[in-house]
Amino acid sequence: MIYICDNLLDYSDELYLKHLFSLPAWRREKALQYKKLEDRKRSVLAFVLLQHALREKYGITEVPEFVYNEFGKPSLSNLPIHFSLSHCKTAVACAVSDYNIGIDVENIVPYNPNVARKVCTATELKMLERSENKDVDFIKLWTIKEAISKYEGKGLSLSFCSIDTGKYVLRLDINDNKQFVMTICYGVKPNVLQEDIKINKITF
Amino acid sequence: MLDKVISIISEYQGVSKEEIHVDSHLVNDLGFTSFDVAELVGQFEEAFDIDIPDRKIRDLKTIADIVRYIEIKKSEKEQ
Repeated sequence: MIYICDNLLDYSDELYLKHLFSLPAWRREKALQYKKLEDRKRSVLAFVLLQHALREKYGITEVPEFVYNEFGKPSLSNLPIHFSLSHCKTAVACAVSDYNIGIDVENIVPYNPNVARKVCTATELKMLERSENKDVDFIKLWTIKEAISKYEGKGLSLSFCSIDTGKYVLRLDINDNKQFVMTICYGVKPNVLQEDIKINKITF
Repeated sequence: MLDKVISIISEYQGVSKEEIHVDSHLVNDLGFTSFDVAELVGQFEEAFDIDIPDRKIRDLKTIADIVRYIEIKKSEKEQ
């Protein structure tokens, strides 16, 4: 199941505080660690989406504390349930599945060739050079690599230049008004459930 | 060096300099996404005239990590 909330500007301080104080203490502490209110809101909202997804799909009402692998990938202790969370400035997304899954959302920003040179292969850079819409095409490529990296559970430790994006099954969406790109990675030859493809939009 | 690093981070992320400390964590405290970190690395490369390989980015978790790494790179360059 995929859940996305893309009207963050409508997420009021009042509702944020209500959510914040409904969180388990460990998650509340993590959210409050952020310096900026916007980051705290995104952190809270990501967890609220996860709570919603686990309740709806698995009937779980209390989310257990996350455990992290050596690269920082979170999982639910003792539960055979996979999840992935992501946020950007305008959206928060959550994927929950019986199978491993990785999700990434990123805002479309002006193309930065310095970043591209760092994370793209020579072939990808050539493609970007030819592109008439470098801003979107680079962010598409970034979210693909990030979603794969999150699927693999290796975060930034996976060299983005070495990722063979072609072997993964991916779903890529550009937001209606092109504010952001979202990519979901289902792995290599995956079991993709119909419900893992459907995107549920949550609004306030 | 530390002041310059903090200034760049403060400007990029819109967090006041007073709230950024040597042990501040880019992701967990300052709200950086992976994409932000990649962009930030580009700014450090330009500001300090060094090259930071993408495999090294994973180790730059705190302000102290960044300052230490830049110092090493600068001293390597001078030798």
